[in-house]
Amino acid sequence: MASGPDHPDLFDLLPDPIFLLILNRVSDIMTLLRCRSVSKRFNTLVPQADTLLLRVDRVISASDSAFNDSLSFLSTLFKSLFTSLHHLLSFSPSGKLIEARSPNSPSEILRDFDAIKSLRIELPSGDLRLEKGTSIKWVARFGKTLQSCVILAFRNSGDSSNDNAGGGGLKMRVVWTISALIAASARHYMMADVVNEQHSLSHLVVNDRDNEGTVIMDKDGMREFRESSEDAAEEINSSAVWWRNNRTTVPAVGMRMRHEPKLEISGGMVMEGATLVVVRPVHDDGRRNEAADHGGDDGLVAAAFGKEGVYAEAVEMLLKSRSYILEMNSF
Amino acid sequence: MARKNRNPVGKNVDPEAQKKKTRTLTLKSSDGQEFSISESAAVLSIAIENMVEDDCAGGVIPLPLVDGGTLARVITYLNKHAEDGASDEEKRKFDEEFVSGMEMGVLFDVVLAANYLDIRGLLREVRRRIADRMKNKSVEWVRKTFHIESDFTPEEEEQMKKEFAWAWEGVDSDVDD
Repeated sequence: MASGPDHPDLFDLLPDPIFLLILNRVSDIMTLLRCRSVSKRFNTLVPQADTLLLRVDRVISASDSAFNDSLSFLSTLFKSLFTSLHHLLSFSPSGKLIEARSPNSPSEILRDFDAIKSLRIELPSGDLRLEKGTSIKWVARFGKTLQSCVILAFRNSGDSSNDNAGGGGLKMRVVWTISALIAASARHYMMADVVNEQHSLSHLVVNDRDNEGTVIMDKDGMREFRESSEDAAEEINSSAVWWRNNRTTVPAVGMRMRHEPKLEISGGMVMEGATLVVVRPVHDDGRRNEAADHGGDDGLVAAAFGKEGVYAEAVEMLLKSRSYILEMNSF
Repeated sequence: MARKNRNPVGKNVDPEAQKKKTRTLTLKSSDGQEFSISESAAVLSIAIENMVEDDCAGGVIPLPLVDGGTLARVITYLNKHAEDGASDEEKRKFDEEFVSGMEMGVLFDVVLAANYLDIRGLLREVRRRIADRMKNKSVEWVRKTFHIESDFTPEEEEQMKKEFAWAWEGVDSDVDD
């Protein structure tokens, strides 16, 4: 393709709606912000893009002192499980400081866009610091607080140099579940400013490159969050312990657990201590969500893990296992 | 007028669908070239389907906004997607090769044609291809590839670069893949 003054500007051929659809398809915020300086038309249209992807390249963990100041039992328990709770985000892949204004929160970056409807934020890694060979996958839906969370956890049999075959028992499974819930509620908390500032936003996903956890807020969840955001701010300020800080409070929940010591997935993969947990809030009067009976799990689980692939296959098998319910107070 | 079933599915042979397969239409490009195409392939374009249904076809359908070269490409796409027994996987592979073989100028011609003829699948594919090429590229690459002249003053440009400095990190090299 020759370039020269005879060639027309290709984007000039396109009406705004198609131009915008291409920008939505690009979706990567770094590319789009750079593109603003391509021409005045780009500069006008980029802020109207409504489908965006924000790749976060580095997460600076919450200050270590916050961890050390707390002597609570929980801090000891969870300290080892988390690489970080998100406090500051860095968008510089090299990690070096840039002299000019360097934004460190998603909401700050997104202020350059006026019409976001759908947003995906991709974090560089999962939050849980797991033993080698252990995997946890979770998908959580939120409104003002947790609406549901589906967790799949297992150990790869290939790595089982430990004698702990079988998954480490109930205690381990509960720790896995609580860890996933804390990670989910920390990500949810991090998004508060974005949801409150981006009024047209109706679909938000926060996931990570390790494919560990996914937080989803849909249109209804978003509305519920915005309507309650003033009360929520007070609630959050009232607690000062680190593991309550920087995250949304998890309501009292019922956790339906299913567990198989060994699952053989087609393709030769073997999962040990495979655990599926479906978490739902319980109402104040102790009544469970109407959807919380058996049948309701299938839909949630399918929505979380899809219909194809090893995880879908694993959860389908686990759904056939016997289940039991544990209840947990708000934390 | 009642709408006919747009995408007859299933193995049962619908006589209407059968008729569409054997019936051919003639599409005429802006530069006067004529192309024969089965009705079943042609109506994957919603715009053509509407013309056929309103019976304003009368044998030859003029498409004054699409040139011959572009129309030939669009017809290749339509024929593949109307092909009997082509699996979704096969079509997906075809789509990918179809758009990745096109030069940028051609992609823009096809995106305009697909928009005009209302062929959603094709529009989506071409859009994706253009967008994928732009990802992580430098401002200079974008200008050169799409023949865009900057209408900013050097001062304005410098100012913008400063404002979004962090976004200038991690850009791919301008070498075309």
